[in-house]
Amino acid sequence: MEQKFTNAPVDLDSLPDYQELTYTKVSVMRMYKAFLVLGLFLIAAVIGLYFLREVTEVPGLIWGLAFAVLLIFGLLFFFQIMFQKNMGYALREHDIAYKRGFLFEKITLIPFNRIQHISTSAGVLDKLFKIANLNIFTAGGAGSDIDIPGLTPQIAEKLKDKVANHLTEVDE
Amino acid sequence: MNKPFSEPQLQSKLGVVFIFLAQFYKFLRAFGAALIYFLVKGISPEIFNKVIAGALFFIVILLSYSIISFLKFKFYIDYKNSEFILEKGVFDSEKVNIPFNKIQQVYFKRSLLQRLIGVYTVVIDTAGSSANEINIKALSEADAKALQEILMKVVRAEQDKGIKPNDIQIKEQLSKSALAWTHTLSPITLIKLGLTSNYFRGIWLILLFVGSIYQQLGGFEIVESEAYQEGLRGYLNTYSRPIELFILTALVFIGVFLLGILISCIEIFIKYFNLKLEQTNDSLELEMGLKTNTKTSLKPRRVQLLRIITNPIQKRLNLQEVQIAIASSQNDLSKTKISIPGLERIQIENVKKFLFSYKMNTGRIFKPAIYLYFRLIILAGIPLLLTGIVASFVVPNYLIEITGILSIIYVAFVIPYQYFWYRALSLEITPEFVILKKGVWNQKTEIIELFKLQAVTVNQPIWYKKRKLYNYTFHTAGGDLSFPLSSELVQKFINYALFRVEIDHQPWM
Repeated sequence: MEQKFTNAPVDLDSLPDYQELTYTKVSVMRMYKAFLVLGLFLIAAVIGLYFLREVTEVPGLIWGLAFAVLLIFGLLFFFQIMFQKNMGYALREHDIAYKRGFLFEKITLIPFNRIQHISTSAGVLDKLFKIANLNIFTAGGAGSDIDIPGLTPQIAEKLKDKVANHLTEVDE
Repeated sequence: MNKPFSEPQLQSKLGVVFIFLAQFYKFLRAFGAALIYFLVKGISPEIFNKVIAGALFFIVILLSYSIISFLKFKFYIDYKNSEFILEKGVFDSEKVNIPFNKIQQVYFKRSLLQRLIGVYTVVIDTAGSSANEINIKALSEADAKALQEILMKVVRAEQDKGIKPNDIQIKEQLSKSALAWTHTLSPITLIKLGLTSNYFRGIWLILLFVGSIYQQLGGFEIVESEAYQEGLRGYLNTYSRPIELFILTALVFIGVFLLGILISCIEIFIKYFNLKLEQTNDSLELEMGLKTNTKTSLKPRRVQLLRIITNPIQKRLNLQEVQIAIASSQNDLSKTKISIPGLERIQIENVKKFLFSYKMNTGRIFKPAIYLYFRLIILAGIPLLLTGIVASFVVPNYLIEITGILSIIYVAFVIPYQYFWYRALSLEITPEFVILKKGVWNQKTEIIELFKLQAVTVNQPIWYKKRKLYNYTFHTAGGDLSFPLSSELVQKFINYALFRVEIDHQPWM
């Protein structure tokens, strides 16, 4: 193996490149769920401002705060749209890649033979939007575990079986 | 089809009772104070009925929650895919698959409550943190034993299957171990180590000590007393000339420094007294300590990350410290670190030879981009800038002097220090290893074997997209290696690292 590798340039270029992966996007329902949560917070903020208007006498405070709230929530909504655009997963024969993040794009690559176990999970809101999460655990600690959100339950289940089958194949 | 546990199973019926009582107990713990308050105060007869009704209602809700939780908690063994499956969750739902070959151990646990009800917790342990293990909290004794037996049987069968490719590996290690050796730390080496180690730790200990005494005495009542203040004033008056003050301060500093060295020496002496490192057939045996004698046995397979630490003085004396992070199924992975100080270069080579499966060849060396240096000096400048701003408000008269001092600190210390730090940082990827070097005074070399890699993360802030710079993190079961801001060329080696892991069939722990 080491002998083979000393021809480094040739070998390296012939290896499959993770940069050329095409990522499957997660369901847009994930974004709607995030929007719902953000929307609820926005409503709470607006109600809060409404009551604050009754008690405060500082001129311009309400308008300043309203502007700040709008700006912050505008950014948060914008980030969610960009997250949605950038989030995706890709399966290869021997590993899984998960890409996420907008300002900080992050790709985690986990070989199938290093996965400890897998689970699918769905919270109350996830059930409302008919989506599920796929959780992949490694022995590398929290830094290398991944949670892929916004999969339809069928796809989550299928992905899980696919990855799980790899798990058992690898050591045979 | 009649294999045991192949159908989804519920826990023992007593499980409902257990879940109910456990939840009830949790509730009592949370609201216990309020309840006691009511009991002590007594409940007025008018609302007595309402309180009873409320309590009953609450108990019914809790009971139905327990029943649903019980009914939703199912587990079974999928023999076809050789994995253990668990489903659970009342509002949220979760389904966990654990392949047989990842199960480390299966054992029982019983709390007092479980003892009273007569159920067992079966814990299925996998590598990784405690969040990764599975608890089945209410099984009858017979079921618990049956489940354990069957799981251990399939796990063993799975392991037997996997043994063939390892045979060569084991033989290799056996032949390697022919050259056994031992290493002991003499008292003289210990003193050398103490004198050259990090004094800041010793100084820090002094500060802690003084701080705790200060607290014990209730905030130094002396300081407040008149006599003390008078004394101090007189003292300051006699030594009020600047040079004398300067010498006095310097003397105090030197005193604290010497005390720091002494304490470091003593600490090292106690911790590493009689250290003995011995290589046996299949492990490194480590023994040390004056007060408590600790013994550790290191198996090469368990070792995930090796760190060599030294500083320029220790380098001259040929003293290096080796830290070893091992994988364990215990709770916190990163905390299972073993330190062996005072090793000579040749002994480090011996340790490496024994612990690593492969020889270390040279590889491609990467340096971080120069932007990292700019970022470092900007970040390091922020505290100084803040000090300057605060000072300009507090003592505006001395602005020029303060700006001068801060600038001197920045130019004379921060800029060169960060430069050396930046210069020292390098990443080497060889056919079998990843080697990270860093540190100006405390020079660290971190080594991981490629086949023990768990995952790789590539991270890119949006503002480095144009420059094609990335941060790379290599995850192992003994900690991560992170390398910032380096070129896209590393990616080819990431491809190689993944390839290397994926073709590998040796056990990594």
